[in-house]
Amino acid sequence: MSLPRWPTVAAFLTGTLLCSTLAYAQDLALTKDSEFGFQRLIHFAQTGRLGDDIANANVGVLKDRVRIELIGRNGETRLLLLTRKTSTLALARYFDIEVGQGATASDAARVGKALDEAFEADPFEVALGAVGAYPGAQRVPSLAEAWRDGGARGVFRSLAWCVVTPPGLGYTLTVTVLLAIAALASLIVLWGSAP
Amino acid sequence: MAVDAGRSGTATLARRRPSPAAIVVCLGITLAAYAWLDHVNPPFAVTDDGVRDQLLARDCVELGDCHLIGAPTSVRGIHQGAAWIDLLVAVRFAGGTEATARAVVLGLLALSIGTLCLVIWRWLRPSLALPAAVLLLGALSYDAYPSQLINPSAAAFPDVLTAAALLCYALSGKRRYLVMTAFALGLAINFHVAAFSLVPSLVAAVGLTSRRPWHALLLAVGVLVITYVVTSRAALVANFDSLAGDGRLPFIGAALLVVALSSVWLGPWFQRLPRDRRAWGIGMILLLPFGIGTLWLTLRQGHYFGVTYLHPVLAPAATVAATLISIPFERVRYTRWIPTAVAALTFTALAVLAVLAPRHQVMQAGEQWTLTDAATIAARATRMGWSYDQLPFRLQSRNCRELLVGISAVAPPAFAASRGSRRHLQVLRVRRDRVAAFRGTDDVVALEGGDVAVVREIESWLRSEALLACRTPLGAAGASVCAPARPTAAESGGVARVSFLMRSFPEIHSLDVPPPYVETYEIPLTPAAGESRDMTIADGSPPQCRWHITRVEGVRADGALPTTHVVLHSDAGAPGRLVVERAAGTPSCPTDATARRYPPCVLEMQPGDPLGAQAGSR
Repeated sequence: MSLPRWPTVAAFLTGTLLCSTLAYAQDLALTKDSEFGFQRLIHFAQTGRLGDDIANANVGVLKDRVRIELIGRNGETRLLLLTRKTSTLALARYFDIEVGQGATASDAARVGKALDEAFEADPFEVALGAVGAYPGAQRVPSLAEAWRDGGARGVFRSLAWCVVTPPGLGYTLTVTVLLAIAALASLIVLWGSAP
Repeated sequence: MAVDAGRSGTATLARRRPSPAAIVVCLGITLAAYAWLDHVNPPFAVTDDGVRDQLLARDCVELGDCHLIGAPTSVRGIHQGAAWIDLLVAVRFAGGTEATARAVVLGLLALSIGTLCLVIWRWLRPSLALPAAVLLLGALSYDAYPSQLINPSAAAFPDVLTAAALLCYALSGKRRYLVMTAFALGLAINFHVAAFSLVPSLVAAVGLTSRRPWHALLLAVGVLVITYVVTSRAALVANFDSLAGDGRLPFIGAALLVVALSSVWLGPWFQRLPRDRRAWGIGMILLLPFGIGTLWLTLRQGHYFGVTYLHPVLAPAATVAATLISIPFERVRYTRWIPTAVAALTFTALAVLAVLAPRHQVMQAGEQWTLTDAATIAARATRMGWSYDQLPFRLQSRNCRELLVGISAVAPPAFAASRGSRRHLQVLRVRRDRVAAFRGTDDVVALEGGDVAVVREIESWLRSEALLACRTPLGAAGASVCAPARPTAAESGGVARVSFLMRSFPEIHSLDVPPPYVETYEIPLTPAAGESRDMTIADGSPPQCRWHITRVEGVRADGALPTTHVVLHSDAGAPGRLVVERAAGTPSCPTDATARRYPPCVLEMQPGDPLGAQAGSR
């Protein structure tokens, strides 16, 4: 079977064009898929792998923020707040960890190590929202940056962000005008058609 | 779809030149159809979905926040495309309003009817053109969806283009019609996902018609995907993700492959068929996948079926129906003209009626707010110093949430203006003949349909912004869950950069318990010492879902509870509480009707207020 040349070329060019522009991505959020990773973290706490002084952990997730409450053997609590990684600190691969009430830097380091073990991939995903997508402040990394950060997976994720990036008014109007022209052309062809 | 039945006329047809008479007649049909559709469709009404789409368009035009995905559909995880919103964006960008968008939609629908008329005239038989067109006009006049300005409103336009181009392709085999079909289908699925049922039709028609079917299929799929990707790639990703996650993608892929393989196999046989049989075959191919899809949706998925989903098959169904109706008349030479004459008379009568008769009014004054009403009230509220973002919890009227949503569609961008926390804005609709008593005492604005509204500020006892919302499962299962009112988007995110959409659908909690449950709002009261208040629940809920005042604390109440109307007295001005509740998720009041997470409207009057009796009786 021979592939028709121009549709293939057009599809390739469109895909390349859409994914090669530097743009701003959607909001990123933790989805239900991240539940398994946090369950592993809780299991680490319950089995003493976060330290002998930690007996359990509570995890609360709200969109792109996580509140982790470590519960000590004596019932005392230590609070850590996780957000998507933007700093260069090496506590955890995918999270920035902020030390909260009762917690220390060593708690953050232990939890960071456990998070690296619990999450094999970046758990943050593009949030499409209830009525679609909202523009966020996250810049889509270039393909080189994506490769450095996450190899092939990072590149794939970067391309996915690129695909769903909301456009500006100019793009929307251009597309609408093109669609209108194509629809008008279709109408003209149909109204002028005959067997 | 009888084509040249009883004649060996294929060669005759092939030599036939396009007749300008057909264009003239079908243009006339288009104009008559527009006049009729404009006549029967009400003005744009305030509905959540309609206003949501207007707000998405405002986000794009005024804030530059445009989208590559449309609204979620009723099928979990599936989203509409963005082309419909893009159309609204273009209308707004060109300076148009909701009325302009309505005119554009009705124009597209009228053009669909004209196109169907012409394609049938030219490609099937002139005597079927007008009957099919009148049947399509009847179907498009069945409900008020066109003027609701939501995704299905204009969906018939790309659907008719798809079906017409597919018929032309199947009868001629010309590639340009295939490209048009694929483009129109990409647009149709974008407008409303029900048009996905035309994808198997396209695959089957290509397999049956083309002498190089795989080549043609690749071309069609390429054009369709490019059309969809350029406009709605985020929707494509979301839908693909959802279908893959639910395990439905392999099934859909396998079904399409079976259709492609079997149609390619049957292709040589199909291509040898007489032209009229091929036309019948294409008609059935356009109708059948929709029927199967509908059965799957209703029986397998338990989804409800609405007539608005019929748009993908309206054109082929109208054509088949016109053919069946015409068959008895076609058998006798002297009666062949009857269906066309009846259709022509119908179009003429509808056009005359549309011009001469008064326009259709479906709004029941006092029950529903129109966008024109909302715009009038928004303008008055702005002059009084109120911005939209101060109105959640502080707007008192009948159907206050609907009015709030309507105002959100037309209100200017938010601005920060201070407002005393006890002040509420009260909007009371009264008949024009009863307004004389209020002249000079309140602000009166004229509304659509001859009513007027009194727009005034009051000192309120209600502190709705500090309410507690609860849901308690009925029966033994589960404990009640409660949450305080969530701050509005403007309060929590800074007024300057909150999107129109985000700020405009006040959902003040996200409590969820399994139905059935009792839904409760505990609203704090801060009464003034020695004063009284007449409290009336003025929500537009159906009777079986009606809210009741069930408890009053801290103040004295006249009469027995539960009730929908109570007079409260405060002797010392001590804080109190008003509790309203209703059962929800019951067979008589399903959760669909109670999905809104906003307290019911409570109208508050001082005893003896002349507006109390007027507003109550309307």
